[in-house]
Amino acid sequence: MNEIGSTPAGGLLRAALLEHRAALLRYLIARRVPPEEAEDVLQDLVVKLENHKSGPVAEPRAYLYRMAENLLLDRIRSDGRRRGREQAWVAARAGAALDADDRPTAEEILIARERLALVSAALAGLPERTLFVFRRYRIEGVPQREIAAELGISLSAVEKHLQKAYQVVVEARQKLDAENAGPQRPIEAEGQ
Amino acid sequence: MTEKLQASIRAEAISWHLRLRDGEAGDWEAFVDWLEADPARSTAYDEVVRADAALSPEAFPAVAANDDWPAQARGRRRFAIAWGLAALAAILLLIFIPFPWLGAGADRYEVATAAGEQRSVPLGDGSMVALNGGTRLILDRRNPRFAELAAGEATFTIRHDGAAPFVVVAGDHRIHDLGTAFNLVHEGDRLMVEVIEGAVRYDPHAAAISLSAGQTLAIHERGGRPLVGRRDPHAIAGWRHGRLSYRAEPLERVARDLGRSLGAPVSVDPAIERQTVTGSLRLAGGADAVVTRFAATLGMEVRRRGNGWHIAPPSPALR
Repeated sequence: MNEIGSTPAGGLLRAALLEHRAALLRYLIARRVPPEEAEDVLQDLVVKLENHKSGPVAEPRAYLYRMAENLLLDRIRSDGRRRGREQAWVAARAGAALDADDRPTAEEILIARERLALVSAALAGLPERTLFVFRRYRIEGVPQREIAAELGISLSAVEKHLQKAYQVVVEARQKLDAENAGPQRPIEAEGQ
Repeated sequence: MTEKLQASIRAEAISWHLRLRDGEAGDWEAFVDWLEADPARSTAYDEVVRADAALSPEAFPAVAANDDWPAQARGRRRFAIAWGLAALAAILLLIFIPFPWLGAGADRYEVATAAGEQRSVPLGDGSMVALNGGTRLILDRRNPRFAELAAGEATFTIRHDGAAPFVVVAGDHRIHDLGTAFNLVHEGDRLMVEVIEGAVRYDPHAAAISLSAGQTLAIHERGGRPLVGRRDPHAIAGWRHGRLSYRAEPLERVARDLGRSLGAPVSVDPAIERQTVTGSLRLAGGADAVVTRFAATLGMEVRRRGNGWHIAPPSPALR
């Protein structure tokens, strides 16, 4: 009855983080995080590990990379949101204080709906089998290997279906972003 | 940069994204090498992961009910990963069994667990809801950022999206998620919100009580005042890991948690319901054994009552 606070799995991960800190930092910098912010991300990772509560992790190193990547994704999303919000507010009422709470603007809701509709339309245009493979992989979380076995096709055939599906999804999303951003394209889309 | 080159970088980025889902450390290292060779690659990869994160089950065209592919696939599938099974079951429910009689339109669906059953439901977008036993959750196909906890207990792990805060309704109560993980119990007129990570806002349009990790909010009766308290985030929603943990919490609360997780009511003698419990108990080994073990630790007696159990102080030896 006295096991509160025991997190052996979290402890192992923290040890792994200390050991592989340099490699993770290198990864973050390769993902174009400015060096001083990369340290912050690692700090966030430490905090996450404090709360780590699931069972033992088979491959701590890969797991740490995955966690770092998820943190980056959160950052990418909140940056995009902040930028979108700032532009919208500046356009709507110049000089007003920035929205302090997280309530979406009417425009944001509209964009979210538009985005869903556009991605839906793009997916609906995919061949049935490609869509099946994609749904199985992305929504139901089935590994590629298993999908290949189910359909009696090769692993590389499964990958081709997924490659095609992702192409369509990324294109649909970019089309919408380009429309909404207009002349003020997000900064990160440059540099190509 | 030419379009052709851009397209090839994107194709590579997608391949990496696919490879890394179950990537080993060596894959990640190779990925770093790939990234370092050209700064445009990281940007292309950002686009892929961002588009991927925005995908939700709602974006997929509905599957026709006579489509036999998934059925065939199910038959051959090895259910290696427990959550995969739960996710599949949930998705099949979402896709195949609309509940138009719920009255809120054909876009609402109910996902329910039987007493003692647990299930995880991916909401797309990386968000996830874990349902404890005896729980009814209503989702909306047209609005992926909405859920109604009709009854029971669920832990929400929500991806933050400022463009669309996640809204959970439970009876007359409304909770806005601000990018977080939190556990919610809704039983009759009782409501309990416990924040594991991030922050939520209770009753955003009136009381607007913000709760952050480790804070709890309880309402014990209809129209009752919300009481804000604290709880170790590690101890919240322990049922998901087969372990309930408490620090000086009333026995009556532990009994209710036990009942939900075991699938049959556990009641407590009023004389001891305010007694506090500290420690953790495992839910393994069969419901009967769990309750018996728990009562024994407290020095209490347990009797069957209806289809459940009743815990009471040991009856004084024959008067």
